[in-house]
Amino acid sequence: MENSSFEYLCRTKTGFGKNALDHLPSDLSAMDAKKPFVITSKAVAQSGVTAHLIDAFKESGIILGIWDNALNDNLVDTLRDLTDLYNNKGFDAIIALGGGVVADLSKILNIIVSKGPHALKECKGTDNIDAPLKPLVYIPSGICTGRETSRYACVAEYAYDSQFLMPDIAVIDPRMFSKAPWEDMVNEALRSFTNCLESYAKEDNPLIRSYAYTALGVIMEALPNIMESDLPNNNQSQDQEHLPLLAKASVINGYLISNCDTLVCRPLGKMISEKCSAPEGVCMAIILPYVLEFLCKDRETGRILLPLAGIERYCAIPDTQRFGKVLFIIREIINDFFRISNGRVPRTLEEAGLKQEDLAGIVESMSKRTDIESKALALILDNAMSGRSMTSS
Amino acid sequence: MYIPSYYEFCCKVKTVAGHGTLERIPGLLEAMGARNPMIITDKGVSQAGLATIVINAIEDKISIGSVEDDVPPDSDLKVVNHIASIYKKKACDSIIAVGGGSVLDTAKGVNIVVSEDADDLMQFTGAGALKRELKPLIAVPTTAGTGSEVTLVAVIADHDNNRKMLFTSYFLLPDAAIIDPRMTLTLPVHIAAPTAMDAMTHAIEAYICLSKNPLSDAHALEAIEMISNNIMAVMEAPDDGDARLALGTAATLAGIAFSNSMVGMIHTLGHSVGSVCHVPHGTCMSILLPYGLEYNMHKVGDRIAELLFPLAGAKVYATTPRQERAQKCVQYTRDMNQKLYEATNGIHARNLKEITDRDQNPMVPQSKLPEIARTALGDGSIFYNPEALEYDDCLMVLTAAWQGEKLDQSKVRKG
Repeated sequence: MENSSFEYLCRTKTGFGKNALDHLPSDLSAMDAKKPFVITSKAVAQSGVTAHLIDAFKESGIILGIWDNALNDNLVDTLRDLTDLYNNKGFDAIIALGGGVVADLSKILNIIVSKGPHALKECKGTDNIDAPLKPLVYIPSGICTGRETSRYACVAEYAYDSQFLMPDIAVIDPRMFSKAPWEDMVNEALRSFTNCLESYAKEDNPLIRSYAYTALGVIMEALPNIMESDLPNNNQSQDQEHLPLLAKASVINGYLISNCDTLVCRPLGKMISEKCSAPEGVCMAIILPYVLEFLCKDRETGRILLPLAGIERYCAIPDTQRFGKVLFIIREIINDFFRISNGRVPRTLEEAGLKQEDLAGIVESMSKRTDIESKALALILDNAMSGRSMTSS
Repeated sequence: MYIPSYYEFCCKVKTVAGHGTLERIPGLLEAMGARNPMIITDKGVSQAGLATIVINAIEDKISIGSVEDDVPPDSDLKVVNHIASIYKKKACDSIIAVGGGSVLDTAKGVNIVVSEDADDLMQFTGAGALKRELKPLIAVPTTAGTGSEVTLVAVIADHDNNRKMLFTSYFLLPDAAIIDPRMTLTLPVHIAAPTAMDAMTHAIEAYICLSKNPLSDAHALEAIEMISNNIMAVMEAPDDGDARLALGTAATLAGIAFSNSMVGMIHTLGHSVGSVCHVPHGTCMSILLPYGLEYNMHKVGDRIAELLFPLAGAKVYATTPRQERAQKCVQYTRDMNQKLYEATNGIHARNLKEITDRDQNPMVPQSKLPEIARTALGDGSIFYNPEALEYDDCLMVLTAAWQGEKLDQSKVRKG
């Protein structure tokens, strides 16, 4: 451990589980918030879940204002309108209810209303906010990516990276979730799975391991249910049981990506996804075993089996076999998704529709973001194209 | 995995751990807009040269507004208000607390007064009195045990009125905790042993008690394993910086775990032995740890069995029959105390009757056990223990811990 050091920060208080929303009024009161501004989308509002939020505040004396028009376009204009609304109506906190767009809008609105209109430009970039902003709450209501609870926010050309963008509170209340397409759930699960496992393997940081261990435990519990639910044929979730579990893992994923800026699968999966038909999370999971094999080639790595297998199974497997078991578990998950989706979830990059001629471009872009050599990146991608194991090459 | 129907988890403290991390303090303060910190510490820390190490590590990069080392062993209201007045006079804008629990409590108290621009801490008693972020506060723990650097509580004594005031708020959490092994490298082994066992007890109670949750469990498992793997290394080579760092980091992890899940009867009884007989907290924790496990065995034996893994490792866990793991875990904690007793030439007490003061006088006479048991019934942690405790139960456990005999589990009332 000589010369090693680590940092970890999660600014968010997280409430998980039954009736979690009911704790929100007192939590906001403790931050002196009397009039929060709820930002959500039409789709979320129409699903009826806002009624639970309103109910939770009914006898609190806190007045909610709800704006439900978050769309994907004209976000800069929208921000201007939201700033006027926030200031004119005297709001003093923000509740983001929904997914990525809502969270991005809310975070950037918070910069403007806390620091003034000039902050939209001045606070751009990394670490340009030097003090806490107004209270910000995040409530997931469906598919999440993890960025919602992260230190990142981006709308059009305005991109921010600051610890003060992590929400003060995240609340995962099963009542707030509506249905979501099965393949989106698979993508969300695999995205969190990949980020958490890579962080656990890569970072010599017991705090990162603790959060990743927890999230991986949740995902490993949710995966068999998602697989067995016979949902791929309906392509629409028939119950809301899995989404809160996945949201729990995604919220923790947001904390982890805020603390691990050298993850490989995350940017690489995004680049691959842009060139093929498979979504980001699926691409990330396909390359995960190869990236792990590369990252862990010179290190003791059996430990990463623990969050996947649990204490009992982990202890039973000899140290020398643990890493192999990790690769087996990851591949089994991907292969099972392939089977039960009748091939719609790919097992290899080739099946994902990635073309051989795109590989060089991806390697070139990725080599600018990581210290892994181009040759190694090319080998990872080449193997992941066909599903061949790294050791055979 | 045990998942409660609802749970919360929060640790807003930025943890910065490693060799040379004191040098990161100026950058951390600057990122929060602070340029003129006050250092709060105590005479013991100062005399051990630790404040000087901190000052030397940061003074090239930041001006230090003031160094106050007048914190008494028991934090004091008047001292808090006095230090706050100096903070204002010297136009400080942030606090670096270098020390143990009392220094941290004092620094949190001072931070309330200066952030609210008040004169007297008494204006902010009671739940919900704090409504906004306080000034930047960086905690530099000098013992690897209490976990105060990540707790949201401050206890300040009002000696004039003979009472202790409890302040609780997320705003009291330090902005950062700096775990640098230079701060614990000179801690004598007979103090390092019980403080590490204090942290171990935080983690173990976090894992077995009623308010546990998956995130506190994960922190607890990491902490237990790090302490188990490094405590004897520190005993054998006190200048082992890596092992000291591991114990410091583990204490912070254990602090995060228990402040999100609460502790149980080991603390209930330990607080009471401490308050009646003035025994150091870590010593009480070390001795009572196996008894807390034995008393709760019939309720949470499966959780105790799992702890054999972080304590003893994968091989011992896998080769111990399932039904024997919990008892082996208890034996493991007893064996640790025995090894620490040997490593400290008998200073690390294994039972209550072995605890002595500097003049070798026993500190816990058997005649005090009834008073300790009565005091325990008023301790808040009793509610989080898996099995209920009444006066007779406390006395039974204390008597066994005094003698150093195993608890007769057949006599534990099963509620």
